Amino acid sequence: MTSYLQIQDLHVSVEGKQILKGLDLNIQQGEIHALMGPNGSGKSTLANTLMGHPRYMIEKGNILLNGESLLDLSADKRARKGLFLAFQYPVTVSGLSVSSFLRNAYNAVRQNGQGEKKKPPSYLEFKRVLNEKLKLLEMDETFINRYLNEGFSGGEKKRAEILQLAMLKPSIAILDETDSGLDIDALRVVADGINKLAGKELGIAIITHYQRILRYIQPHHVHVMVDGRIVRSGGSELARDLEEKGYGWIKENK
Amino acid sequence: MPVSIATAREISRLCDEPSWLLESRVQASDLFDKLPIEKSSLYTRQTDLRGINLLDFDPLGIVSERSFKAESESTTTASGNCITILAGKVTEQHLSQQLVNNGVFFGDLYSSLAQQPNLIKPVLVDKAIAPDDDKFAAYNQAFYNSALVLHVPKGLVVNDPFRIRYFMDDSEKAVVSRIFVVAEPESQMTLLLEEYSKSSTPASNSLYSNSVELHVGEGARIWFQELQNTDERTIVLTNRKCRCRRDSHVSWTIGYMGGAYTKSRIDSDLLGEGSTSEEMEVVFGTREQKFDLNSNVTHVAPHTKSEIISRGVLRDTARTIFKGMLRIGKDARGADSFLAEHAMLLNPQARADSIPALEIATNEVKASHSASVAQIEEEQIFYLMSRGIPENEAEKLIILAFLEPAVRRIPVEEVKTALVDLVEKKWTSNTNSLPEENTRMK
Ligand SMILES: Nc1ncnc2c1ncn2[C@@H]1O[C@H](COP(=O)(O)OP(=O)(O)O)[C@@H](O)[C@H]1O
Ligand SMILES: [Mg+2]
Repeated sequence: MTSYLQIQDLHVSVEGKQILKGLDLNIQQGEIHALMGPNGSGKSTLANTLMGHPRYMIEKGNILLNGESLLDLSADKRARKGLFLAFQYPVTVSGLSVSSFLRNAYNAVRQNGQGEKKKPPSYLEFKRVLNEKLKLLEMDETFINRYLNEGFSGGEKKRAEILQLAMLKPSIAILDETDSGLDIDALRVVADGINKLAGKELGIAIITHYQRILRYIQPHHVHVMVDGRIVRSGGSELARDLEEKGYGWIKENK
Repeated sequence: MPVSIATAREISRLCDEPSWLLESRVQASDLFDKLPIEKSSLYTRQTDLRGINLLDFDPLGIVSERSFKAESESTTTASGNCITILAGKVTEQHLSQQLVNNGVFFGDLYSSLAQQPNLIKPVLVDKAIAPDDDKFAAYNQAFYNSALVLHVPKGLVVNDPFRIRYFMDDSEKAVVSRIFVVAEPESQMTLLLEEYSKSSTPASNSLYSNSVELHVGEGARIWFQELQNTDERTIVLTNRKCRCRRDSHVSWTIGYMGGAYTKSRIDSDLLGEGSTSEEMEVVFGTREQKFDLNSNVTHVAPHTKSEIISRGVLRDTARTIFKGMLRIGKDARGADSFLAEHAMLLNPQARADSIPALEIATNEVKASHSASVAQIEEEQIFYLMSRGIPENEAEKLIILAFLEPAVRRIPVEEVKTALVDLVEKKWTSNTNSLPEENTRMK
């Protein structure tokens, strides 16, 4: 069965302020979507809301994964159902090693919430998978001994997010500005990583402010978000138009 | 019958003590009556012993029920070098033949006095922990009903740890214990001290008072590791002091898990040039537990170095007070002293206070302290949950991460593991119970 995420007429407020004002979007496993928009248009709000951040209030609308509403589910349950968010600003947890964090997450997503408790994979099995993913993403093995995001460069943080994506194998992944703050080499490595993970098994929504990353990753669909709504959708040519004409062009032509 | 000077006399009589020991008890009992609950004006406001009357606990009963000395050393089934004390009574005692041959003594005070009076009597007369240090030291020295000595001769490096385990039972008894450790020059040893409660049936409170003196000879090293895991009806009062001679080193690790009310004091006296001390302190308080923790480091000699790393996590309505005092004396040039006290609160009703203080009487020293009290961060929890980790597990990982700066410095691997285990178990059960055999330190 192909997984699919449906976002229907989503209205979201934060601290009393209306941010998303009726947003619709469908993402299927295997598809790559680019979600573009100027700063402050509500892209991260959408990402956090999808993942179930408790501070974002859903005023109206629905979010469904495979036809089932996610609204009453906490973030961990959403993750175990196959949703993933690569954070724009990954959180530092000093004292928690990347490897211990990944092990806990890896075991947790294998408890898929369908009742029966599966035996967690052995440490050796986990290590084997982890080493394979580290290799895939051209990351050093010593990386996993560091504390989660502590002292990571911008590039390391984003790569760590992609490493988590690789380990947890979700069906739908939202990548929030995974390209921002990267120099061109780091961007290439991160984009390569995403391309390696993309495929039939994974639906991706790349949230980005710039067009740069779309030179490396070919989206099937491009959406432009302004002021809490998707104002235009199209194929990859839309990204090129945006690059030439800027967001002003969209705002004028809405 | 509440304890009084007559109790001290009676314990002394039952233990067949020489008169100079009785005199010490009498003097201490007198001080106990006179001393206020808190001597230092710095802390008076924070010390809260309401509802606890030390005089209600009986230190005499367990003495009259038994002979003071180990019942019989042949009852031992233990391996390794260990002494187990169950409700004040030595039930296991073992020291490897090799260490016996090397001149190590590990046993009760009275045997030690009989076997090597010239060694241990000066230590007792010297009173590193003085009865007027505070009211609790006075209590301990007036009414102790158990006393142990560990002596490691010059130059001997003992790799296997020495273990002392206390199991309290829940009655209105007082287990009042003293431990004297003498590390002759150039010797090295690890001492693991564990405290548990034997029964978990709800009953009245019990009292556990302990004092530990570490006499650290030139160039000697002691790793003192303690996990305090009694149940939540035990009142825990401990005074510990190390006296460090030239180039010696003491490493304290204390894990505070149990106890209704814990009042703990550690004094590190760096008397000899180049001596060093480090202290790793981990607290995990839940429900109504209270921890009153005081660490004092006194740099007397030049080029002495000390570090205190204290981390506390408080849940429910648990409370902790960290009182850290760094004193650098006038001759301690080149001293280097560091104190960090950090707490994390999991509930709005939990509370942590930090009172760091510095007294510096000379120039050319390094001394710094840092302290903080923080809530658990919502964004960290969300981040971990977004990876499938349930909220409760996410919180656990975050508190373990918070404790890590202290935990990773614990020098003995099995203590590190045992401590993390205790935190995890307590996280899940929210209470201190007697651990299964396999979760205790081996
Ligand atoms: N946690 C928050 N608290 C308060 N305001 C927020 C919060 N998150 C987002 N906002 C506000 O919502 C608007 C949209 O922000 P965001 O979703 O981060 O946009 P984008 O990711 O497109 O740059 C901004 O005006 C921002 O200030
Ligand atoms: Mg954003």
